[in-house]
Amino acid sequence: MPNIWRRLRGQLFYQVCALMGIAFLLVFAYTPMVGLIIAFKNFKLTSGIPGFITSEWVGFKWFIEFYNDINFWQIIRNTVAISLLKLFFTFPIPILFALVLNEVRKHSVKRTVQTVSYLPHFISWIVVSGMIFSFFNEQTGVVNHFLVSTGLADKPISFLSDPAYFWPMAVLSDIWKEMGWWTIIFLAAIVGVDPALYEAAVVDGASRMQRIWYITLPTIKGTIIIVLILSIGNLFGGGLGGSNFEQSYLLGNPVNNGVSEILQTYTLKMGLAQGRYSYATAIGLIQSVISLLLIYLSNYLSKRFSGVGLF
Amino acid sequence: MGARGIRRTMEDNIMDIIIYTILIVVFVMTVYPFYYSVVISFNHGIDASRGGIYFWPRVFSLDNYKAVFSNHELLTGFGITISRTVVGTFATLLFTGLFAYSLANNQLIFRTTYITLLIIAMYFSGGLIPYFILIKKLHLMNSFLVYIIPLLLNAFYTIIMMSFFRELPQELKESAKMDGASDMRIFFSIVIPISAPVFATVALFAGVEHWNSWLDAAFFVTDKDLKTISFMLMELINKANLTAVQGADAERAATYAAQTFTAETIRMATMIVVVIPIICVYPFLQRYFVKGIMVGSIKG
Amino acid sequence: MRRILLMLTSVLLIATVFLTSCSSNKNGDSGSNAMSDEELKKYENVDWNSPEISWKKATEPVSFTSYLDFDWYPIDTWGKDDVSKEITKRTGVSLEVTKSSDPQQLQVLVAADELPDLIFTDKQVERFYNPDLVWAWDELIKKYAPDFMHLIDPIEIINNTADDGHFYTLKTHYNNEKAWADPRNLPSPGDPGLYVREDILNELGNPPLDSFEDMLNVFRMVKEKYPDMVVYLPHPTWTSAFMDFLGLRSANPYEDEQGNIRFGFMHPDFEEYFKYMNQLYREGFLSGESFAYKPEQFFQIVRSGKVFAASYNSGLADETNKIFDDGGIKGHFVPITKALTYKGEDKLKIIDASVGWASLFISKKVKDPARAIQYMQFLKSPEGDSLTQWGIENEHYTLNDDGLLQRSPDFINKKVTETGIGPWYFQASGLGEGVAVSSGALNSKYHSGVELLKFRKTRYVRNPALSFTKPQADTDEFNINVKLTELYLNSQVGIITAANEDEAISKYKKMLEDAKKIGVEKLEKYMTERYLKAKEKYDAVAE
Repeated sequence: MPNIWRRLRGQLFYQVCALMGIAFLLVFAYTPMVGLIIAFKNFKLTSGIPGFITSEWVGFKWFIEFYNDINFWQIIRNTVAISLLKLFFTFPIPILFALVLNEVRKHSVKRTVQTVSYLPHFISWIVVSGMIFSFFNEQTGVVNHFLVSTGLADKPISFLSDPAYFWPMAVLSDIWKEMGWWTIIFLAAIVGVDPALYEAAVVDGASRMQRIWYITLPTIKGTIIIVLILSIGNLFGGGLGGSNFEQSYLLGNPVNNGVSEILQTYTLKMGLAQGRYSYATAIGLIQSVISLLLIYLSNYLSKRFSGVGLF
Repeated sequence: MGARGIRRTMEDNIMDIIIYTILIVVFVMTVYPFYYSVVISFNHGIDASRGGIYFWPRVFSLDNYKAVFSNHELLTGFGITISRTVVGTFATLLFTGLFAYSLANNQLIFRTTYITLLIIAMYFSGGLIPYFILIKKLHLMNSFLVYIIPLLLNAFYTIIMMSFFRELPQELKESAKMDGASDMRIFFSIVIPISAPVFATVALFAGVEHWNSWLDAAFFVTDKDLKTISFMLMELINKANLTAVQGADAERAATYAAQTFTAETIRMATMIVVVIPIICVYPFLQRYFVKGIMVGSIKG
Repeated sequence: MRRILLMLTSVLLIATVFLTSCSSNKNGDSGSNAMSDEELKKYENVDWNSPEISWKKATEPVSFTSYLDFDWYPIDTWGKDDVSKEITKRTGVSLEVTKSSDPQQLQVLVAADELPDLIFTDKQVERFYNPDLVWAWDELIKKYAPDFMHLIDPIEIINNTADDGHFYTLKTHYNNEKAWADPRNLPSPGDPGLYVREDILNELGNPPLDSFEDMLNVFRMVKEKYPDMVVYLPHPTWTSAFMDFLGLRSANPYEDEQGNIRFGFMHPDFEEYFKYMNQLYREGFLSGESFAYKPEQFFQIVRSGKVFAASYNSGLADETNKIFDDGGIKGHFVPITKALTYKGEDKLKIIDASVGWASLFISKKVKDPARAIQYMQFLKSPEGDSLTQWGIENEHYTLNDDGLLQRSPDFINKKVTETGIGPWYFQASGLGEGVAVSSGALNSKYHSGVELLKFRKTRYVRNPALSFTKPQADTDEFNINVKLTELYLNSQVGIITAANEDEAISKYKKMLEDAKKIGVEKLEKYMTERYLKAKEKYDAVAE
C-alpha cells in the first residue's frame, strides 16, 4: 500500500491532470446520463424533472415496440449498409490523398491544393443538398442535360429519387465533402516523418513507391489505426464525417425512403418530433451500446494484430 | 527534402503525372462548387430560384449581403464569436492537452479506468433535457462561460493528442528530468513546442467547432447581446426558409413570402460570410505543420 | 471493471438526489375568489366598445416573456415595428420575445419547468391542457376579466375545451357560422389549387377542360407538341389537387355513410385516385422524382418556365406569374376554378374540420395573470384584431364601402419588420384574415387566387366536431396516427410509380394491409368515440 502512495505522489502532476478531466466527465457527461433511465420508463414531457424518477416503469416496452415496427429490418439494413460502405470507401481516401500531397515537391502547389481541398468541409449539408439538386435533378439539372445530349443516357436518370442511387450518392458526396478535411490529420502525422530516413533511403536506391511503402506508411501507421478505430466507433454515425443523419435527412425523401431511412432519422421522426423522449432514448441506447462494443472489439483486435491500440 | 530528386527516374515521371492529375481533379471539383456558391450569393434571390445559373450571376445583386448585414446586432455577434473561438480554443487545447498528456503516460495508475470512463462518455448521452437542467443548475445559462466550459474536454481530441504524445521520444523527457525540471515544466517548455503539429490540428478542429456552433446559443442563452454570429445567421436562414415550412404553418408563413428573400441565396451568402474568416486563419496554422518538420529533423 | 461499476452507481445516486431535490414547487391555485356563473351575468351589458371593459382599466406598463414556436417567424423583437408600438401605447403591454430556433426547444422548456409567461404554438397543443403548466382561461377570466366570458362565442369555447372541462386557450383563425357567411370571408389561402399554363392552352386551341378525362387528353396534346416540357408537377408535400377533386384527404379523418370515423386513405375511392395518378405516371406526364423534391426545388422548376401544369396552394399562379413578368419569361398560369368531374361525376366536397390554428397559453409562472388575460381580451376584440391583422387604420389601410382594405400605393414596399402586421395576432379571427386575403384583389393585379378561393367556398361543408378525433399526445392512438401518416407518405409514391396498373393495385392493397398491422382499426374506433362525444356538445349548443 505505501508503495502505491509513493507511486501516486511521484506522478502527482499526471494524476491531477487526469482527475481534472475525469471530474469534467462526471459533471458534464455522467450526471446527465441519468436521463437514460427513461428508456425503460413511460416518461411524459409534462411531468418535468420529477418525471425522470416518478414515471411508470415499463421495462423493455419501447425496445419491443421498435422491434415490432413494420420497417424495423429495413431501417437496420439501411443503417448498417450505408455505414459499412462509408467505412470502406471514405476512410482510406484521405490517407491516399495525404500521401499524394506529400509527394508534391512544389510547396506553393501543395499548399494551394490542400487549402482548397478542405473548402467543402465548411459548406453545410443543407447547402450541399441544394447543390446536388441543382446539378442532378431530372428535369432541369445540368448532369442529366449533359448525359442526354451526349447520348450517354437515352433518358434522364433519377439520381435524386431512384433508390438505386441513394447509397452511391451518399458515399460520393461524403467523400467529396470531407476528404480534404481529414487529410489534415494524416498530413500532420506525415510531417513527423524524419527526413533523414528519406535521405538514407535515397542513398540506398529506394524508389518513390518503396519510400512511401517502407518509410511514410509505417510512420503514420499509428495515426491510421487510431483514426480507423475511431471511425469504427462512430460507424453508425457515418464514420469520420459523421454525416449519416444529415444525408438521410436531407437527401432522403418519400421515394427513396426504403433505402434512406436510418436509425437516427427514424428516431427524430417517430420519437423526438412527437415528444416521445422515452422511445427516442431507447433507440439511441441500442446504438450507443453497439458503438461501445464495436470500439472495444476493434481496439482489442488492433492491439492483438498490430500492437497499436487506442487504450 | 532537398535531397530528393537528385536524379529523376522513369518512375518519378509517371508518379508525377498521376499526382498532378489527381491534384487537378480535386482542385476543380472542390473549387467549382465553392465558386458556384459565391455566384448564387451575388444573384437576385427570386431570380436565382428559377435555377439555371452556373458561371456568372444572371441578375447581379448585393441584396443578400445587405440582408445579412442589416442586422445591427451582427457586430456584437461577431465579437462574441471571435472571443469564444479564441478563448475557447485555447482553453480546450490546454485542458484537453493536459488530460491527454496524462493519459499518454503508460505508468499512470488507474489509466485504464480513466480511459474507460472517457470512452463510455463518448457514446452515451442522457439527451437534451437533463443536459439543459445541468447547465441551469451550474448557473451557466446566459453566461459567456456556457460557450467555453462545456467544450473544455473533447474525447475525440483527447484520443488524437494522446496518440501523438505517446510517440514522443522518451529520451527528451528523461534528460530534462535529469536536469531537475518538474513534470509541469517539461510539459510546457518541451512537450508543447515539439507537439506543434498536433496542437495546430486540434486547434483547427476546435476553432471550427466554436466558430460554427449555434445550438448552445439557441438553448442556453436568451440574452440578445450574448448571441453568436452563427446563431444569428441560422435565424436569418430560418426566416427566409418559408418554403420549407409545412402544413398550417405554411399557410400563415405564405403571407410573408413576398417580403423576404429566398432561403437559397441567403444561405449561400451567410455561408460565405462565415467561411471567409476561417479561410483567412488557416494559412497561419498551416505554418506550424511546416515547423513540425524542422523540429522533427532536429530531434533525429 | 468492478471499480467502474461502483463509480457509475455512485454517480447515478448523486445525480438522482440532485434531480429530485430540484423538483418544482407548483402553486396549486384553488381559484377561490372566482365568480359563479350567476355573478358573471352582471357583466353581460359590457360590450367590446365599452369604456368599462377590463383591458382598458389597467394600462400601466407591464412586460411578459414570451416564446413563439415558429422558426420562420419574420419578427423576433418587440417594439421596433408600428403595430407592436401601437399595442404598447394602447394597452401598456410589451413582450420579451424568444423565437424558436429548434423544434425541440419548447419540449425542453416544458420538461425543465422553464416556461416563459406566454407560449404561442401549434404543435401537440393537448400537452398544454394541463393545469400544472398553464392557466385555464375560464379561471383567469372569472377572476380578472369577468366581462370577457360572454363576449366569446360559446362554440369557440367548445372548440377549445379540454377533457377536464376547462379551456386553456382560444385558437386563432377560427370562423363561426356568422363570420363564415360574410361575403368578404374566404377559405384559407393554403387551400390546394390546380394550375395550367393559359398561353399553352391557347396555342393548343383551348381544348375543353372539365373532367379528369379532358385533363388526360390535354396532357397528351402537350406532351406531343412540347416534348421537353414537364407536363404535370405536383408540390411534394401539399394536398394533391386531383385527390382534392375526388373529395379525398390522405391522412385526415372522414365520416363514412354509417357515421363511423375512418382514417383518410381507407376511403375506397383511393383505388380510383391511384389508378389515375399511375396512368399519368405511366404515360410520362408525372415524374416519380417530383415527390422527392424539397418545396423550394419545386418552385425552382415551376419558375424555370418548363412546366405546363402544377398544383400547390391558392397563391401559386399569382406568385409565379409575377416572377415570369419580372424575369421576362413567356408564360401565364391560371387556376382551374371549377370541379373536374371523374367518370362524369362531380365529387369535389371540401370538409372543413377546422377549429382554428395556433394556441396561446398563459404559463402558471406568469407574474401578472390579470394583465395577461386582459391582454388576450384586447387582442380578441375587433379593435385588437384589426390592429394586428390589418395594421393601423388610416396609416396602413382605409376601409372602403365594401368593408375591404384599401392599401396606400407605397404599402407594398414596406417590410413586415417595419409594419409588424401579422406576427402579433395571437387571437386573430378567421374573418380578419379572410378580409385581408380578399382585399388582395384591390391592391394587386395578381389575384387569381381570390377567384379560386371564392369558388372553393361554395363547396365547403363545415364539421368542427371532426377536429376532436385527433388523438391526444402520449396515447397509443397518437403513435398509430403518426405511423399511418408516415406509411401513406412512403407508400403513395410506390403505388403511383408502379410499372402497370395491376402492380399499383397490389401495392395499394399492401398499404391497406400494413395499415391494419399498425392498428388502423383501433385508431378508427377511438376517433369515432371522440367524434360522437364532441358532436353531442355541439348539438347541445345548436339546440
